Amino acid sequence: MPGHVPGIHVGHAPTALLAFASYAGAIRRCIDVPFDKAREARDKRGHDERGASRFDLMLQYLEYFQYRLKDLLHFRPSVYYRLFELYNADVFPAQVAALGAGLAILLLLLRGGGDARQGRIVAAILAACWLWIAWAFHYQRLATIHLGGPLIAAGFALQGMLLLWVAIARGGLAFNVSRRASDLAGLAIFLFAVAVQPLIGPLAGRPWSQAELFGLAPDPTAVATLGLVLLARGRAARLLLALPVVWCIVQGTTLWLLRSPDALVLPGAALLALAVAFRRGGTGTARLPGR
Amino acid sequence: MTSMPPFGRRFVLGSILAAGAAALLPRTGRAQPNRPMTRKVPVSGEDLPVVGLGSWITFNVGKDPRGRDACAEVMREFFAAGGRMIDSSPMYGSAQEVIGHGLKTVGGAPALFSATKVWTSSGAAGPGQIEESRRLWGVPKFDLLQVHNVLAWEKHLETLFRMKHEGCVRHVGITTSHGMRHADILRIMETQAIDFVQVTYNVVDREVERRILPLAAERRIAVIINRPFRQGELIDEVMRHKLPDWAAEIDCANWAQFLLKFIVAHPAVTCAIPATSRVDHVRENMGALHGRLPDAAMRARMVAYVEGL
Ligand SMILES: NC(=O)c1ccc[n+]([C@@H]2O[C@H](COP(=O)([O-])OP(=O)(O)OC[C@H]3O[C@@H](n4cnc5c(N)ncnc54)[C@H](OP(=O)(O)O)[C@@H]3O)[C@@H](O)[C@H]2O)c1
Repeated sequence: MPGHVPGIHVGHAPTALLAFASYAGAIRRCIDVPFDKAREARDKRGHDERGASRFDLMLQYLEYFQYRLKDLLHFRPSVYYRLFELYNADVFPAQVAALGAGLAILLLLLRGGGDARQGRIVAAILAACWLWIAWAFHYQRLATIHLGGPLIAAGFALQGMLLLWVAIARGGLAFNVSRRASDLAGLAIFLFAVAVQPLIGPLAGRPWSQAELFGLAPDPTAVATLGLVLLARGRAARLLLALPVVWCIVQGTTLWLLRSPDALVLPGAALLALAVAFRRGGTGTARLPGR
Repeated sequence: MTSMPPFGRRFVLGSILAAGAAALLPRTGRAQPNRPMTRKVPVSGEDLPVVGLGSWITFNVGKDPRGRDACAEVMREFFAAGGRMIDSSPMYGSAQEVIGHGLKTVGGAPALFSATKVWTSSGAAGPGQIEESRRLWGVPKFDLLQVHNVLAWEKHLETLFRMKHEGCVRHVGITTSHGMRHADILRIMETQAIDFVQVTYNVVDREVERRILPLAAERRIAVIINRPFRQGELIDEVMRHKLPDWAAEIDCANWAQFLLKFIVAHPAVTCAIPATSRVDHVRENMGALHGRLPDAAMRARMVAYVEGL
């Protein structure tokens, strides 16, 4: 819990640092043994704590690092999930609108035809979701228990702005859903986020009132975005993958540290999306439509 | 059970010295029937119960009214059992605000010994952060302000000493945990007129027995012990095993009291500050304020027992 690395506050540091925490278990296992050996050696040669040698400092930092990752989180899982319960109650009946938004996107996708208006609407809906979550969930609620809340809110707002820019200035996301493997994967990821992900919490034993819905909660929204970006034509659209992927890693790590049974869902979705995107990368699809 | 310093000659020697010092303790350092066991803060002579209350994680419940009320109940039980010191920090998310809510809910706590920290790398930002903490707690002034984790300690100690001189805080201290930055802590203890030092100490993490606790006794610095249960890991681990029958010889009814009595029996320790979100746990922890304390031989036995689990 000691809260800083020299000169940097962990509390204010980019929460993306959490990504590294996913390796915490492995790192810990790797350094535990040498660390104990080094400490033993130090003890044997009569450690003078006043004149900390470089060796001692190195030990201190190793020790520091060993604990830092776990200590980045300073709330309990029950407190985190209760945020969703209170949020769901506060924003009711926005859940209906959120489900409607998911359905609308699906219908627009299936209608097909590469119509520019269709792509604009999808990008605008997604932008609204990211901006809303940045403000209403991360800034107003998560930040009450998480010192990194405002930073996460800024990341979500940035993705929302990018989507808005795509919707307004770049003519939207261009869809032309086919039976290609990459399209099917994108569609599956999107459907998973909208229809399956909200059920994971209740299936894992959390109350229904804490369900996380696409459009309102960050995790299904990020996964749905991955799916939609995979479905969109154009290399530049893949820029929109970056922040959702970062979120999947950061949040996967957070959930792993919180010992949530669903911790692997987000990193799994991100890996799949990246694999599909890179595989499709060579096929040289067109740019974003519009300009 | 992993242990930091090896259990051996050094520990036994230290324990014998500790027992000798314990014999010299003022009467308040001993268990007295029905009165919570206290230790004196050397600089002010104030009596502090040897068990306080931490707030890291357990009190970070945000705006959730149910969570806040649960914390207020923990505080109510804590005060009812004779508790005084509550420890927090601006680093603990909403904990300070939740403590403020708890103090209002229990209708004020005249016995409260408020301890918080300053935690920012900017010396200039220190006073503003302290004022914000004071507002969140809703107290006129803090009993103790500590520099959290030795962060920018030169600048903050300057502010804290000035505040103490002006009567805006009663005691000044410095904290660390997990056995880190002990070299800095020792240097500060030797060179600065601090009243409190806060470090990690428990039956398996005993590094501070070597230098910090003896130096604190020598320099008349009160000692707060954090992570008495290793943030829950230690107590969860030992609770899988049966409490030894001989724990009754030191009036321990449960593992929490076993672990806490080991700590507060060290004569240089002023108080331990376990954190909990549960009323039944705070009740157990406060039970360590009563009954007999282990002597050196018993403490050695406690170490050997836990390490053997
Ligand atoms: N650098 C620093 O300044 C620093 C660093 C570390 C800690 N601290 C301070 O020291 C305090 C204590 O340290 P900590 O919170 O890290 O760890 P801790 O007090 O060693 O352990 C807290 C954990 O123990 C559990 N617990 C408490 N009483 C129990 C009981 N009777 N039976 C079973 N489990 C029990 C709590 O869970 P339940 O909620 O379920 O009871 C909680 O998870 C902190 O809260 C903080 O105020 C300061």
